[in-house]
Amino acid sequence: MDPTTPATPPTAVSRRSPHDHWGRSEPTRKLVRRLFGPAYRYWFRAEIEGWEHIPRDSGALLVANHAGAVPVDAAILLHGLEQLLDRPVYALHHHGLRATPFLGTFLARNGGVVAQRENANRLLGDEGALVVVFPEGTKGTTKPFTQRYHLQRFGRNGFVETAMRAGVPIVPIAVVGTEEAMPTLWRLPLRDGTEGWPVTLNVLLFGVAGAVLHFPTKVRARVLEPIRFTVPPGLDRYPPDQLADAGEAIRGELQRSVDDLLTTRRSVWRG
Amino acid sequence: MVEARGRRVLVTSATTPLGRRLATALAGRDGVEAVVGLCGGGEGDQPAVQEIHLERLDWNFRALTELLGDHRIDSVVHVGLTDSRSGAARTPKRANVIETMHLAAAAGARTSPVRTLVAASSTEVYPSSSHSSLLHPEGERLHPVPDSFAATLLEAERYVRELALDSPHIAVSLLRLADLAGGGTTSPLAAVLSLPLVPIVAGFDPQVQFLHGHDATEALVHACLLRLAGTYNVAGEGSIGWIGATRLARRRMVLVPPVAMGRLEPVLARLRVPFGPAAMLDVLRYGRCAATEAIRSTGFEAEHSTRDCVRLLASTR
Repeated sequence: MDPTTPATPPTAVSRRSPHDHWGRSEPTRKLVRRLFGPAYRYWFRAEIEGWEHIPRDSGALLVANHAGAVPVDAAILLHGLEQLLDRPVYALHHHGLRATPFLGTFLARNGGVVAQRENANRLLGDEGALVVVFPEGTKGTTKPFTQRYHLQRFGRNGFVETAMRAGVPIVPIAVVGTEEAMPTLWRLPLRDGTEGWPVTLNVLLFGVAGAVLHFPTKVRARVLEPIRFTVPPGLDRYPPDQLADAGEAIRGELQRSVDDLLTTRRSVWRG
Repeated sequence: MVEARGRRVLVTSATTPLGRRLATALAGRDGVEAVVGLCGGGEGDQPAVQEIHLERLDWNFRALTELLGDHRIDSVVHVGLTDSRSGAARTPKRANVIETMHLAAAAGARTSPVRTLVAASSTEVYPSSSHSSLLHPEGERLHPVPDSFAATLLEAERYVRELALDSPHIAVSLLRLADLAGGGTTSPLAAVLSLPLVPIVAGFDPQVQFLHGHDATEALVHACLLRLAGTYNVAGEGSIGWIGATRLARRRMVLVPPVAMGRLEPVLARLRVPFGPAAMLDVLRYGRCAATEAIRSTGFEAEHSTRDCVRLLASTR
């Protein structure tokens, strides 16, 4: 053995490395939380109720509705939950974001992880982390303003299978206020006829700055009771009918909570 | 398990840096009676270590079968899959697939005395893309781009896996080694990190892993003597960001815009990176790390972490 190389204990994690193997950096999170804090407290006046439902020390898949052309719901949830629970929160995102220079690295430093089977299984199952996911995906962020707060289809219900395989509960979170923060009025058609870039009210009013400037809507999130599964974890596949059933049930619960939050809301700006 | 007699081991590509280390390590190990080193026709002369008998032959089924029988080989450690990375002048397709096919066939033949086979593959089978997992487990389903280095490796691995299925009396293990650095071994990734100006793709800072040559050797010895079966990733503990690695290796960085990556190709071609630099550019953006719980659960721990390997690259200027 090379005598100049210090022996490394097998379980030692490199203390000098600023980020973990997912790319998440606690110093970066501290800085971003400090910068985003005023936006969270004064611009969005965000409130998260029911956060006690989230497990303190073990893993859970936090499932929320998705909204806004540039979704600020992820930022708000991660900020609020990390402060309330004092533990890291990760969020699964589309792999196209990781392929984007700078944005991909920025997301990773802030707890973003590509939504991928092995990643999700390791994060949730092996490491017992808290992971936010938006099953509506881009369907949630690209829907027009007229369809706001109508939860879109949950795709293949992969999120249910992920939670079952990892053996963690699903905790639904209903979020209200983000639809109006950056409403999509219509989408410019691409050359091949499919829908492309969204035109938001923000961009119409503020020009280019409107791409990142959200309206100061009141954001309220309600964390619902966890849903625990009785199936054995670690299987390669789960019965499709159970996945579809659970997926639809969770979507229904989220829709009901969103509707309830909307009826108790008196004003988009004040809540 | 205590063997009645010592093991008689065949090491392929015994004149390459990894093969030579491996043969030497085995020769000095208790419980090993004899080590036969195999090198192909085109390789240069290297002084043989005392207990090692070097055979030179062209890879073909008959010659291998005779060799295995003549020397009563009960264990084979095949380093030929990673051969091209240590700079031997062979066409990669032949080195990786055909030789492995012949070796597996000879080992699994009816009259073969082989009861253990260890093949050294590479974590290069795993994809590096925006949608690949950040920590690859051994069981990951792989669909490499056709004709890529990963596809060639996987094809060679398939012969090894089929040997395990066809010959249950042979303990067959496949060790996917992370990029080698230190201990006289090198790899394309280590070579890039050793450049005077290390390329950084602007906007990307992926996680990478390294494995010290000494640990690669020890892992292969471990798999051979313990008669492991199955596929195992082997890497130094931990991973490191590419920018952090460049700083730790005390190299200067050159920012490459993500759109003009074609400029990197001639540089990487000079490093003799096999199968085109496109794969390397993917690693520079998305990295490549493999999960090592499986090999660690068999009692193997690498002595050098990934950071240790990178520090070693700093000292070799």
